[in-house]
Amino acid sequence: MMKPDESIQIFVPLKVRKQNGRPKIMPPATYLPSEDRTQDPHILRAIGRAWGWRRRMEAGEFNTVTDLAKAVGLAERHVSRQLRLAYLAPGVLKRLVYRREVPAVTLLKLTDVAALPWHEQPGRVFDDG
Amino acid sequence: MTKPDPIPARLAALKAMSVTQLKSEWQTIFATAAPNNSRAFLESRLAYRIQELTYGGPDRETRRMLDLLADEVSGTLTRKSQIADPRNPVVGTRLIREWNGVEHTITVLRDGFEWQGRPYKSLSAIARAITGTRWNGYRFFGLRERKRGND
Repeated sequence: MMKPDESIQIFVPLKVRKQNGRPKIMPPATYLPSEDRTQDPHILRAIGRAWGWRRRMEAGEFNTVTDLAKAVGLAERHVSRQLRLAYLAPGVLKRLVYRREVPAVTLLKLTDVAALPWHEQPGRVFDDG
Repeated sequence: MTKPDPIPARLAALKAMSVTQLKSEWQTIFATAAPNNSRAFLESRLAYRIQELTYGGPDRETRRMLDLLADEVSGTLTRKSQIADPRNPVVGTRLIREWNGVEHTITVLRDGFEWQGRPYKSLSAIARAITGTRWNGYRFFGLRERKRGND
């Protein structure tokens, strides 16, 4: 046993951020992301679903988002918003789903960012600007 | 760069176009008739296509990952899962459960669990191997929250 004056204190800098309504502990900025592949499963799931919808839309399965929404049984407003995730800039999609970098914004905000010109998107999605 | 990037100007031009103009732009770019009259849809889809033609779309590995994710979400994925179950603890966590006086240690892997040197896909499978009966794996290992009102 160590005596109290010999004890070691370790400080690990952590940020806590609200993500999708839940607090989430963010790693320090110097931490190399994605070695253990820990992207938020909700984000992967939502982007994967949007990508699947995009594939079906572009294969000509549906004429309009309304038809798609009916087929998947969800509200049209929700579907058209979530569908935008599949139209994020390719670089952003790569960092989110392939490199599994954690975004600095909520999923809802990601759907807004998708409408911006591509070069503006990384700065809005990730902390590094 | 010798020339200024023409993309921002083209995107700005889209915003100024009428729906009729957007539809004729659609005809030019996609070589098909515009699918509807929604200005928001036409504008954003054209903006995407213009950028894609210049900068290129998602690369192969990103597309492959997106395809895997899409298949997994729609439940048609036959290969190992890409999305971790949100109920699982951090990879490498050891779960210890005593059963009939024997202590069992399970290690959480990236895509499954390890028990007695063998990989398992689910905690339920391990619980069944230990007890011989079907359990909810998360409940057996104490990972499932109690129902509200019980505590």
